[in-house]
Order: sequence, then structure tokens, then C-alpha cells
Amino acid sequence: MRVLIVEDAGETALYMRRALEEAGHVVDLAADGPTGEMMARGGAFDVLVFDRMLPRKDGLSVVTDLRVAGVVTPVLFLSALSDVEHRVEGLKAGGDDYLAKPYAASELVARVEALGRRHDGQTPSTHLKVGELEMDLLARVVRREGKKIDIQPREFRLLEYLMRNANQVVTRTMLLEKVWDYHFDPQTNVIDVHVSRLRSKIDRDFAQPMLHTVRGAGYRLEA
Amino acid sequence: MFARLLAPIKSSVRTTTFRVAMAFAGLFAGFAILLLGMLYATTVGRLGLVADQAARRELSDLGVIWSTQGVEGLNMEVIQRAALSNDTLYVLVRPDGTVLSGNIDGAPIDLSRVQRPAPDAPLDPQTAISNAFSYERPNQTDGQIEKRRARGLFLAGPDGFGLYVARDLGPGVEAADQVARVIWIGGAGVLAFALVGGFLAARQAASRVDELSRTTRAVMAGDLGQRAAVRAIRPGEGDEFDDLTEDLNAMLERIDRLVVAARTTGDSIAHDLRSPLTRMRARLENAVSTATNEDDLRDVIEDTLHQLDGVVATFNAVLRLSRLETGDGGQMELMDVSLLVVQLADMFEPVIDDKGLKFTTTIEPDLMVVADKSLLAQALSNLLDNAVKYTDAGEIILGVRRLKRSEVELWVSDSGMGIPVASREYATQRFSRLDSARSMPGTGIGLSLAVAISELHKGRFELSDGIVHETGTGLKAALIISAQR
Repeated sequence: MRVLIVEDAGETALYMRRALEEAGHVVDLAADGPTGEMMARGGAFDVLVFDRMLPRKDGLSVVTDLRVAGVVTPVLFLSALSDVEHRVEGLKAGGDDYLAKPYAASELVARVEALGRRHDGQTPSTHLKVGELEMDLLARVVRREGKKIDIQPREFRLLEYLMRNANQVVTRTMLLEKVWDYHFDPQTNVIDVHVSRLRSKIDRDFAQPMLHTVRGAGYRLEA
Repeated sequence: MFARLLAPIKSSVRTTTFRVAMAFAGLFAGFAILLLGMLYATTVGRLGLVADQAARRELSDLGVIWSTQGVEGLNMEVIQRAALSNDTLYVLVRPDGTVLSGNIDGAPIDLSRVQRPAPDAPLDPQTAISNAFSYERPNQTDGQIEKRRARGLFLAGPDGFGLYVARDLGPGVEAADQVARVIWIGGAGVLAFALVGGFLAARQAASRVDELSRTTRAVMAGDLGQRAAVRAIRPGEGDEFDDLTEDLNAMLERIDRLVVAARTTGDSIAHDLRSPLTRMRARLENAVSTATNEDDLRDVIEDTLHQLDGVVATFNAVLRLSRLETGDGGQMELMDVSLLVVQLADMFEPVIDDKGLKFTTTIEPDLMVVADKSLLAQALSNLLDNAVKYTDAGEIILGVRRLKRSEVELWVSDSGMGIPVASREYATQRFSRLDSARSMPGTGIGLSLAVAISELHKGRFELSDGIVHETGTGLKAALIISAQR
């Protein structure tokens, strides 16, 4: 994936680049708003990462202008402003995701990958398939190796998100935000419990586990 | 000394109230003077006209005698009439200006400027010059000398003699003069009353304003606890000063809260972040000097990262709490709170189940409230977090129901260790962690957040007895906000 990072704090930008490059992506850097905007218009990027506060032109304005100019590349906002209103502002300006500073490198990588994948142009399908695991979104039926798995509605939504982001790390925060639509941090291990329940259903009776825990980061569903 | 005595008067005179009172008094007095002045002018004018006509009749009578009998006949007639008449004044003057006959000392007119008719011209009363004059004479009742006014006519004859006839304006003019006196005295009285009244009103207003000024000055000097007194006994019945005072007090209340919030935010951050930061620093320092292999270092770093996340979480919670406590934030919308509770129940059920606790929900359906969905979810989630954390056996109940007086109660009840009645208030304060909770992970901010969120919804937060079990009584934590019909 080609990723453009527009971030004025040089050291942070370098860390971000290293994290994304380690995950196998190609990264370009820009240090201010206008440069970032120019590169985003010209280059064929899969994901744009914008700091909200940038020299010369702030991230919100740049992204608004990009959207007006017809650039549809997914945008991830990074910001020290973490309140719900700020998040809403970012999404209204044309951002696709919003990550508050400070964040873990794994969180950044996971979100960038999720955004890049979403942009792959998947048409809203009614059928998902990861290896031998299949999901029929209309009949709301899950099968592994042809065997029907009895699954609850909330587990269905969780599994759907994991399948849509198969072979990628999804973090706990991402699950909380995307599956439950909550933007706060529950202190108990709510997400872990849900995931382990789901795991017991899709993995227990099979030789090969599919739902893996990625230490210090989150989870990954693998074929 | 004198200046000091004058100072309060000066300050009252400066006030708007006094100026308004004076302006109205001036306007009123001016209008009264104008009105009465017009009345006076028309009365006197009318009397003057009547006197003028009478004088003219008299003059034309005498003119006939003058032209038929000559000056001698006129003289006789004037002497006769002057002796008899009280209200009419006569004087016949010789060509040199001296008085020939009459009942006053001379013609009150500048004879040198009178145009004499030609010696052969006929006597014409139409050419008489009219004027107004005043004279003095003894009062008819008590003999006092009084000033009287009259209208007169002077007719110059072709023979050089001149006849002056005047008619007293009569008793009517005295009444009019009386009215004039009343006007002046009354006008002065009105002004004096206005002055005193305005001064008193200004004093009254100034004292109210002084009270407000005193409060604002005390606040400026740093005493944010000061409030101005409201005089109205019942709210909503006060005057405009009470309204202003209430507004001022409300403003001070808000400023006070903001200041306190700013102060406590700083304190809280220092308080709650310093200890984990110290711990992290010590661990890193220790690892630098004592670690012997890379794995040890890795462990320490990973552990520190984990703690750092905790610090960030606390930091975010403190900031969020501060914003909530100052009444900031909150995107209110009409929402189905029952649905929210169902979703939270769905989210927490596995966690509670995993801990071996029974989970019950009592959810009254379709309860509508105007609230910030995400904040309510956060508050309830904090309460559920706490319930899970502090309950080792038994049951957790999550519920929502409509109370009397159209309120909605969202509550979480558990069979945990509970909080003694005496400690319940303390438990809702920031960073307060009961001794029994010290060993548990947490920021000590969960309940304060729930309190702030309920206050933001103009509701309240209550801690009460939860589920009774063998070893004690659990805790019930409830958010009560107003329902939408």
C-alpha cells in the first residue's frame, strides 16, 4: 500500500514511517499543509494520513479542499484533540477515521490497513469468505467447512468486521468504535471477552485456529 | 468637612435615576407653566379687550362733548365724571402737558411723541392712541395701597388739549394675578419635590447598585464566594435590580465553577499522574542500571508502555471530566434510552457471565429522553465496570424505568462489597478511592464522571443500598434524568 503521511513533527513522522514500512507499506512524507495537499492530488496513494494541525494550512482545510477537488483517497486524521466534537469535525471535513494522540504504532498500522482495504472497492457484498469460513449476510448464517455455526447477533457483527478486515490486525479500540460505536475506553476487558466467546464458536471444533490474538495490538482473523 | 457632607449628594446627583427624575420634573413644570401661562394671557387679554372697549365708548362720549362744547365743556364733564367714577380714569391736559382736570396725576404717555392733528381738522376719536398702564390707589375695603392695571386711550384735539381716558381692568385681573402667583409657587414646588424625590429615588437605586458594586469588587479582590443579596422574598417577584442581582450571582456561580474546575484539573493531573510517572521512571532507571539481558529490558519497556497507556487514559478522563463539570460539551438529542440500555446489557453480559455472576436486566421499553447518547453510555458503562470490578459473587442488575414526576432512572445494582452510607458522598468525588478499592486498577474517576454526566443532563446521581446478600449489602448506583413524554 502507498501511504502519504502529512505530519510536521519530524521525529514522529519518521517513527510512523518506520512502523508502516515494517508492515510492508510504501510511505511518503510531507511536513506542511500545502505540500501534503499537492502530493495528495498528484500521487496515487491508497491512504492519506493527516495531522490535524499543520503549518501553513491546517489538516481539516486541506482535506476539505481535496474532497471538493474530487480526491476520494481515504483519510486518517491524527490529532491531539480527542473529544467527540473534534472527531465529528474531522469526519465532517471528509476524514474517514480519526485517531487521537498519543497512539500505539500498531493502532496506526491497523487503521491505515483497514482504510486501504475498504478502498479496494469492495462492492457491498452479501457473502463473505475467509478460507473455509463463510458468512451469508442476508440469511445471517455462518459456516465453517460447510458446518453451520450457531452465532448470536452481536457475535455476528463482530465476526463480520473481522472478516471484512481478514488477515489484518484490528485493535480493541477499532472494534469498540466500529462494531459497538462507542468512543470511550471501558476499563474492563469487554472486547476480549466478546472475542474469546466468538473464538470458542468458530475455532473450538476445528483443528486450525483462525482468530489469533496479536500481543500488544489486537486480533487477526486468518485463513 | 463640607465637601465630605456634600459627597453623597453629589454622587446621587450624578446618577441616572436622579437625572431622569429631574428631566421629568422640568418637563412637567415647564408644561404646567406653559398651560397656566396661556390661561393667564387669554384671561388678561380678554379683560384688556373689555376695558379697551369701555374706554373707547367713554372717549367717544366725551369726544362728542369736546367737539360741541369745546374744551370748557369737556373740562366740566371730566371733572364731573372723574369725581363719580371709580373704575374709569380721566385726565385732561393742556397743550403744555400740565393737568387741567382729572383723577390721576397726568397722562401716562409720552406727549412729545403724540402726533397733533392740524388746528382746522375735526376731532376724530378714531385717531386715539391706546396703551396699557398701571397705577396705585387705596384698596376699597381696607385702604391699603394696591397696584392696579388699566387700558387707556389718548386723544389729541386740534385745539392742543389732550384727553386721556382709561378703564381699570377690574377684579378679574386680580384673579389672574393670583393664578400667576400660583404658577410660580407651584412650579417651584414641583421642582422642589422632584429634586427631593429624585434624590431619594437615586439614593435608593444607588444603594442597590452599591450592593452589586461591593460584591463585584469583593470578587475582583479574589473572594469568588461573594454573592449579592436578592431582596425579593419569593423568586420571580423581584424588581429589575433583583433580576440583575440574580444574573450576577448566576454568572459568579459559573465563574466560580470554572475557576475551581481549572484549579482541580491541574491538581488532579498532578496528583494522579505523578505517582505512575514516578513509578515508571524508577523502573526504567532501575532497568538501565541492573538489567543483564535484552529480555529483561523488553519486559520492563513493555510494562512501562502498558502503564503509559494507563496514564494517557487517566489524563483523558480528567480532561473529559473537567469539560463536563464546566457544563461544556454534550450533544443533546431525542433518544430511546431503553434501547441504549439493551445495547449496554448486550455488551456487558459476557463479561459478567465470565465472572460467574448472574446478570439480570429490567428494562422498561420505549423510554424517550433528551440526552447525549455517548455520554449516557459512558456513565452506565462506568457503573457496570465498577459493579463487575467490586462484585465477586452473586448478581448484577441493570435497569431502566420511569419514575414519578416524569423522570427516568438508569441504574446498576450489585451484590458486591457496597459502600458504607457515610462514605458514599466521598466516593463520588474526584480521585477518591475508598481504601477497599485501592488494590483495584482504576483511575478513581468513574463515579465522578457519572455524577458530572448526570448534572450535565440536569439530573442527579444517587448511591443507595444494592442487593442484600450473606456477607453484606451491595451498591445501587442510579442516574436520574428527566423523561420526554
